[in-house]
Amino acid sequence: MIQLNKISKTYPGKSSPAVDNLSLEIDKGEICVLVGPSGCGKTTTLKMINRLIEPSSGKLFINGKNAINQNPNKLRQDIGYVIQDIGLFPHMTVAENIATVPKLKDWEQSKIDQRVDELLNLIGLDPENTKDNYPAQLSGGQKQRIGVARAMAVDPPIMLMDEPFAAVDPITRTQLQNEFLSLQKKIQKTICFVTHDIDEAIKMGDKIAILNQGKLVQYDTPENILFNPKNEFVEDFVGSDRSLKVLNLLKVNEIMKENIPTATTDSSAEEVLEKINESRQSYILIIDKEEKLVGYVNKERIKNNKDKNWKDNIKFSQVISSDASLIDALTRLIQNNQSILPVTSDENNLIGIVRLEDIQDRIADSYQAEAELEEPEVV
Amino acid sequence: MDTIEYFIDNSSHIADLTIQHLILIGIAIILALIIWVSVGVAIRNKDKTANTILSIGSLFMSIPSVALYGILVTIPFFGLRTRSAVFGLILYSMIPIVRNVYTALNEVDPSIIEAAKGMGMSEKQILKEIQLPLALPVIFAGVRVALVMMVGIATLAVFIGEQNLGQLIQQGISRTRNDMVITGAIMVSIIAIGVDLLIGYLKKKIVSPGLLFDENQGGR
Repeated sequence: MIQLNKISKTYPGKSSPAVDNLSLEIDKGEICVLVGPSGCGKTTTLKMINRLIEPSSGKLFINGKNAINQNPNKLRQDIGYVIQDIGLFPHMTVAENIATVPKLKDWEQSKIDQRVDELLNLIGLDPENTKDNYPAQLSGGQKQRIGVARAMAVDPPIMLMDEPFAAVDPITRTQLQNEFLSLQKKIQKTICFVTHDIDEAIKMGDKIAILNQGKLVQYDTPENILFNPKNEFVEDFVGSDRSLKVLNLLKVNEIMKENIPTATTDSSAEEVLEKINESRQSYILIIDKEEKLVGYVNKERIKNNKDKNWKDNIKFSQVISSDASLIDALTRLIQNNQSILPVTSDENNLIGIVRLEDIQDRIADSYQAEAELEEPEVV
Repeated sequence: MDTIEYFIDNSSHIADLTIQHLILIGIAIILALIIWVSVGVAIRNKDKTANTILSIGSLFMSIPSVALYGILVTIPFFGLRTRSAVFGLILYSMIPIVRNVYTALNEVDPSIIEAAKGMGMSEKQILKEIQLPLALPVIFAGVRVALVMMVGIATLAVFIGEQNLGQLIQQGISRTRNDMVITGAIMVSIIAIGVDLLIGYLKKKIVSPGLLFDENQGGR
């Protein structure tokens, strides 16, 4: 889909090239993350794809066509572009911002309106409440979502994203990353993504390209980058906590326990206690008639407050979705001092639970795997 | 209460002079906008040229108006009266307008320009649809200064034969008629305030509400 063939860029007045003889192929529907220390040429590489920076030499093919001899403006209209500072136009409403490229392509107004609503729904914002707002009225996270929607306006097959989530706070960033990954499942774009954060690279990338001093050091899947680093540079860049980073790759549904004992809100205190005893736990999760999670109760609390309605003892619990990464689950468990985390669907239906001990087992497993991988070197 | 009496007795003459005054600054500001906005746009990417142009503007600004008019009337095409008066006013408005257009265009957030470029907008489209609308509040500020200044400086055009409110002041001083001086001064002040309000109103109408949140503290 995107093919860089021996691309180089030397800025005027510089002796060494910013990007040096780089060849890279990004397949259709894949997220390729360019990552590396600052000054490694990752942003230059990205900007050469939509020719915001013209390559000094080399070939660039997009969708099989030579991109170098196309009209750069036409080329860019078919490539979504999201940058760190978003660059929403402050004098235009949300709808006008999203309509930028459709207008350049002379779409009819009715088609534009329809597309704006569709995109706002897709990114989880209510069209009626947001489309007439100006960027100054939006939160950082909302701006970032609008930036992504604007880049997708004409449904371009390719998107370039330059540190798109770097400017928001860590909690919003995690949220945006997860949202974007589930969005990508639906839209299946070919994406080139730049970041300096290896954790983000591991989480977002189908493939990771590690760059250093303008050269491509390793281009591989996140697993191979973690466990088969090509050289010392990659190893150092990935960091020593590789096993912990693996948690970025694993999803909650891979270690989630299903068919867990639950009690419903219409049962009596005795029934609940009985169920807790049956499950051999000190607590039980409570669901309502529609199987939506209400919270959990402790055995001790029901026993100690027998005179009160047992439902007053239900406590709210943090939850996680099944396609979240294990690192998110671990963070949430530790932050809330819980040992289990209920897994729920988008509609708050209980699907299962993640236990802290299962995550720990998983970390131990990967340590073992790592030790096995390194063994040959020792021998 | 001489002033009020004078005002009532000479109301049609005063109205005449006021209209003359308004016509003069009207012509001057329209021409000034056409010329200086174009110049500001033309020099937006040329730092060196911009510096030269802006120094020339400052030079004009530092010439006393009476002296400038004096010089202009000696130039054959301009001569006495309107042409010189208008041209003088245009020269004085150069700095506030050109400088504000130039600065405002260059102060547009580079990430906004990059986003626009990355989405496939041409240089012209970026100027017309992004840079100029974003520069409008600052351009309006420059025009406001230029216009208020013009209202004042226009009074001095009476020395080169213009008929306007400056006449009341000038004749009032030479004939020690306080009522005339005060009438002239008040009328000029009213025009200045009116022009200021008009620009404020136009700014609200023309500038995108998205750019005015700081001023309205977040309200719509």
